[in-house]
Amino acid sequence: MSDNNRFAQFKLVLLGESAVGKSSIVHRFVKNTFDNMRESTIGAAFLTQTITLPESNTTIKFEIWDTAGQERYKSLAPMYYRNANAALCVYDITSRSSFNKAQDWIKELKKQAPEGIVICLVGNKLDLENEREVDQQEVIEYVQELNQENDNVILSECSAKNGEGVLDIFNKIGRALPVEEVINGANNRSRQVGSRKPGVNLSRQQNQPQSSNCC
Amino acid sequence: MSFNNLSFNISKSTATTSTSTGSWSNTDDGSKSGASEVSSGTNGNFIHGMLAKSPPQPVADPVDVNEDSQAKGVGKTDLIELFDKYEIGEVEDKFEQFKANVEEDDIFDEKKGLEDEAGRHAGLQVDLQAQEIGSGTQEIGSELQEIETRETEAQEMEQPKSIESQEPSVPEPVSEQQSEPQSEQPSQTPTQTQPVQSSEPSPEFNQSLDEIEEDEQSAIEQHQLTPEDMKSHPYRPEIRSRSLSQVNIDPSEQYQQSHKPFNFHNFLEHLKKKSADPVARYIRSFLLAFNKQSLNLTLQQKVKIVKDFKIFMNEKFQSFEPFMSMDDTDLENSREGLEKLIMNRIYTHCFPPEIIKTSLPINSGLVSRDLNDDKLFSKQLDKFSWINGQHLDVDLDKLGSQAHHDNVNFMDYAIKEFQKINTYRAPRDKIICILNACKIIFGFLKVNNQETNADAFMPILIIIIIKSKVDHLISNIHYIENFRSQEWLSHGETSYYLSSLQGAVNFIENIEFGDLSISQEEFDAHMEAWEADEKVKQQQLQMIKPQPIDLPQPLDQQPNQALSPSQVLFTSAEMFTKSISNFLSPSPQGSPGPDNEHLIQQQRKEIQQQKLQVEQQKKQEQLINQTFDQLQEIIPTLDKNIMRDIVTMNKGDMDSSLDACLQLVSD
Repeated sequence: MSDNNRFAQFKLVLLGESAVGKSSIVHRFVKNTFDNMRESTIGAAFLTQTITLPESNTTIKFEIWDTAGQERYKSLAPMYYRNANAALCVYDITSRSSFNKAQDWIKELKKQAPEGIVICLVGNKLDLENEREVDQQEVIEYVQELNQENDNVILSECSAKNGEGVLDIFNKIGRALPVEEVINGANNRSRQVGSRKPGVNLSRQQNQPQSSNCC
Repeated sequence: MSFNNLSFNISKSTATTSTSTGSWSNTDDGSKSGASEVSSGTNGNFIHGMLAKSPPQPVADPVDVNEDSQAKGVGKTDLIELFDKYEIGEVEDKFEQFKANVEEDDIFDEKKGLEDEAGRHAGLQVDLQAQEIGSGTQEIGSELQEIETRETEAQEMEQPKSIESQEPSVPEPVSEQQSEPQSEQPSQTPTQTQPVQSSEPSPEFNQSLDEIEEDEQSAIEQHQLTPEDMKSHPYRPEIRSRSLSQVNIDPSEQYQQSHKPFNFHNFLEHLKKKSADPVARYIRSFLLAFNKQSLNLTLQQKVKIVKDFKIFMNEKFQSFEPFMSMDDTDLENSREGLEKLIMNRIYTHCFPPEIIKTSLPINSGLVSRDLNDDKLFSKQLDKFSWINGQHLDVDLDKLGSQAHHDNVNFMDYAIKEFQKINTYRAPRDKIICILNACKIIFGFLKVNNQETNADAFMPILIIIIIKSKVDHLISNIHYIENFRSQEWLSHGETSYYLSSLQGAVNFIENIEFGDLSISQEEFDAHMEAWEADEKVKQQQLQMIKPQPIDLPQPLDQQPNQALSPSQVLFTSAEMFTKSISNFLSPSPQGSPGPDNEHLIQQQRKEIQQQKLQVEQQKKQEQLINQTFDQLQEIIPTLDKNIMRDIVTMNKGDMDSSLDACLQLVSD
């Protein structure tokens, strides 16, 4: 297939406490990467945005699902992260409790989320460095520990306010996503006419391309 | 004789088509032959068997053919039933008409030629049909409709297409505005979505496909609420100006990006084309077979059948024009169209609240489970109908102040859209009702300069669900999950809002004190009020059944008395709970929210009043007993039961009771 038009779509879910600025990060991401703001028709709870990975000449479309961060809606999260390819667990670097909450989310995702979900732990409000409560070194160690157990949690810090590090998050996620599988799966599907049973093709291919992709 | 000819025609047309796509069944099921699939014999497999057929090898292997048709018991019975249903003579008449048409039209020459060939194979061919696309009946039936459709189509073609020709291809915002009020007329919808009598599939099928679908088409076009609608809605002029200035991009462009516009009419137009005949025939066969068999199928089986049929048709789209040469967008439109078309037609067999209306034995646990869930959920809605913005930390009063126009506030508007979910049949249409309600919520948040994220959206959605009290919400959600194709369920904006709805429903189902911003006292008061209300309802139910009412009172020897104390007690209790529930469920947008303390005090007052009433009741009963005892001493000759009646009627008043008794004695 021609490499000019490689395209894959992924679902990304936003998790984190109410005031950590989940949606602000996405707003910033959606605003910055394109000139005009591509807000979806209905509201900012569901947004889509595409990025291009130049090295592989791939366009990735993120379908971003916001979740309500209030404690009382915590039990609803599984409704949102089923079928998700990636999850952004956001905390506020000036709030210890929000970091603890983000850790809880990671634990829950590992237990319940679809296998192979790309998890990204994001510390927001980098512009408030002098009010920092969550030590960066501590977070790095936490993530290293997680990744020793064969997980692949991405770590990032950003400021939705000034835009620092925001695009970087999505580029990192884009590179961690199983892009090849999805593209190959789609091609295979369109070639083999009719075997539209979703999942059949995908699951069969999941093993091979990933191993070549990882290292 | 002509009957067999008829069926052969179809077999030919399908045989040619399926060879080109024979490889489609190379899925998991493909390894098994059609025969072994079907031989399990359950009805649920009949379409599966039909779909999992191996590439047809018409006369090449007669043994296989026979085995298959034997295994396919369903197909055979169908055939017999069909013979019963359609008088052979009638069929022949129809076919004669059909031939007449054919002779006039050169295009049908091919079919005519096949007809002769069919004559030679007479006997075997019918059985062969059973193995072809599924069961021979379906084919014959579809061919019948085919004939009828052709007959009517010729006339119809000359009539102007009323709906589409009047509507501009790209609706301008202005025209949207004009059409919008129409969609607000709920009176239109019921006629359009009037359930088709499920027990009699044939009349339904005698109608031309086009006639029916055009009606349904108009419903959805008016129903689709675009962002322009939202912004230019007559009720909400302020929203329009504000949000347009806030977001300075072309909203229609956005709309194009996030929603591929669905055009049902387009699909139907494609389906009407000659080249799409085989596709149309598959659909008719399927519908006929489904409606015929549905009574024997469980809901689970129906879900599977519909799913398989969609996969099967998807395959067929690849091998027939005009679908074959469509781009992805048009093809998706066709898949959407197919889903809408078939679900509109088999809705009454697939939506539990409709299934139960047919008053036939419910053969599926899923149906009763859904209905039971509906019941439980509406009970839960009832229980928590008092929940307001403040309980979920949303100040609706403050927010709502800007959204009042012409006495229609956003909440009512959203509720109205949401409630439409029961007036539409296709899963997609139902989702659009949800989507429209969500759009209104976000429009409202935008106009009030709130964040339009999930944090702000979720609580309002929950309140909308509680206030709207939509019937059969759980059934609706399950129906969407079951009959909407997976490709649209797991991704996209609509699926986001469907998930949000499921989340909100989940929240309401499991609501607890800790989930709400409320004091324990207020919560308990609401719960007590609800329990009292429930008791009254149960009593009402008991009253309807002619059962004696238990009362640990001395009067329960004569429970059926018109003025029995239990009744008095009951009415007063009813009045009491009514007053409480009226008081406790103020309108969401009402004048500043009720003061909690005041509310609780009021509640306590009411409870005290009830206690007082009960005490009064007891006193009266004591009085009646006293009077009765005294009267017995005075007039020992009178029948005791009569005497008690009199005393009770006079509410224990000594003088009037004595008078009445004396009169009786003197008589």
